[in-house]
Amino acid sequence: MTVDEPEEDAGPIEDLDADLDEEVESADDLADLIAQTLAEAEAEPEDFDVEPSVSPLDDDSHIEVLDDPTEVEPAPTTSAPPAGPTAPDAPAVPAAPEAPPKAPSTEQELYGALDLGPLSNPDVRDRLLAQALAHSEMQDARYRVPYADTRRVRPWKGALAALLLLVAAVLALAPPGWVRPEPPAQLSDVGRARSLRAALLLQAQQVDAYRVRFQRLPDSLDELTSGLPGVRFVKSGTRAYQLIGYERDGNAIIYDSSNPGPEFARLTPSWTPEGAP
Amino acid sequence: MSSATRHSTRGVAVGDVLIFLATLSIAAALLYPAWSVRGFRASVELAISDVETLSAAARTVRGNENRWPTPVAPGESPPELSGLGADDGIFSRIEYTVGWTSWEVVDSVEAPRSTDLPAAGDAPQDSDGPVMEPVVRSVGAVTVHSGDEALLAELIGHYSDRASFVLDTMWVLVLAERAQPLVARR
Repeated sequence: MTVDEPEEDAGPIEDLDADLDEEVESADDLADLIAQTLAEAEAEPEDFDVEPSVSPLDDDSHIEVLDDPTEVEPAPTTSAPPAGPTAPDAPAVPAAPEAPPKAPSTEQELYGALDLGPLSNPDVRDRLLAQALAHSEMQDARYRVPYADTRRVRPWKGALAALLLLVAAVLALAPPGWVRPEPPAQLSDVGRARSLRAALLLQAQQVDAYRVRFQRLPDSLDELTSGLPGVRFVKSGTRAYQLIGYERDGNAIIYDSSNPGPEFARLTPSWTPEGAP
Repeated sequence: MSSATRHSTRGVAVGDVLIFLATLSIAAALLYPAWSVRGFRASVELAISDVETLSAAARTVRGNENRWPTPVAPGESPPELSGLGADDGIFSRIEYTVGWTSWEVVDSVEAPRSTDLPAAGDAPQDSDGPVMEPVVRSVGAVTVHSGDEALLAELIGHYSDRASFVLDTMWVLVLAERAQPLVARR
């Protein structure tokens, strides 16, 4: 806040600042000065030319800041059209030809020091306020138009998203055949039994080969060069034997060398040479 | 920004994001089943390729040396097939273990007739019917050991026209070749 001391010669503001700098040497001095100034302001409010802390967009009651009767009264704020400080019907005092060039008015000095600029003019403030309101209305109007379109589009997008999610859920939970890849093969019980019979038959071939070589049956499968795991060997006499294998459920599949079952007979040609009789 | 503007922006963004996520979900639902079995199919194809490679190499040895390669433990390369025992070879798989073995089988073949046997009166001659005798021969076998039962089942299905079977965690493919008798005829 700058306090204006009415002086006849109206020296530059820098002189006031210099005087203040000479008077104020510490924070205590500054506080004392401010308190003194406030006390004087309360005692003589007419000595202050400028109302402090006036916002440019505040109410018009703050516009009356001049006590100089030579100043031109401001136009009514309610019905006056927007006009700048250079409007022809509002002659500006600083531009008056009768004003001395070396001694500008107190108002001009004050506004220049406070850097209030043209905002101190009620007309300018009204014009700026009207422009700001118009700009705000325009922005609202611009944003309001796509909002109306979006309101029309959103239900359609939501329905489409829901439909796509439903399709995805159906594909994930109950995929159609063209989505499912070929599942990995699994061994059936019949396939397991057939594999076990083939294994018993191959093991029997080892026993027969041993008998051909040594003219006798082996005492156990350990005497053979090759053996399959999980196969039991039981001798029944000097020429007959049984090989026993077990399925997963515990059922035994028996190969009897004296009377192989028809299931084994069907497997016999499995490893016959190609083209052999 | 006014409330209407925020509402508009949020509505458009949510709708677009929902459609994007739904499209991603459909793509995932379509691609995941095939993607999930991609690794398994690759293992099956690799196993079949390894079996074919080992079978061809063993048959080559069988044709050149008139014998099958020496049986070895699973995961080891027979001496005759040392070229397949590289670090990244067929005997160094992670999903399964390839092995080589051989088995003996007995065939009944017709015995040659003896032409200098004396006639025994009115008794019928032995030459009236064929005389069969057992002949032992060797067959090779490729084994694949794996705890993945589906892999073994796939091998069974792929070689359904060949002599193969599954026992526990082992799949056996018997290589049937016309072989020379290993045991002299009686």
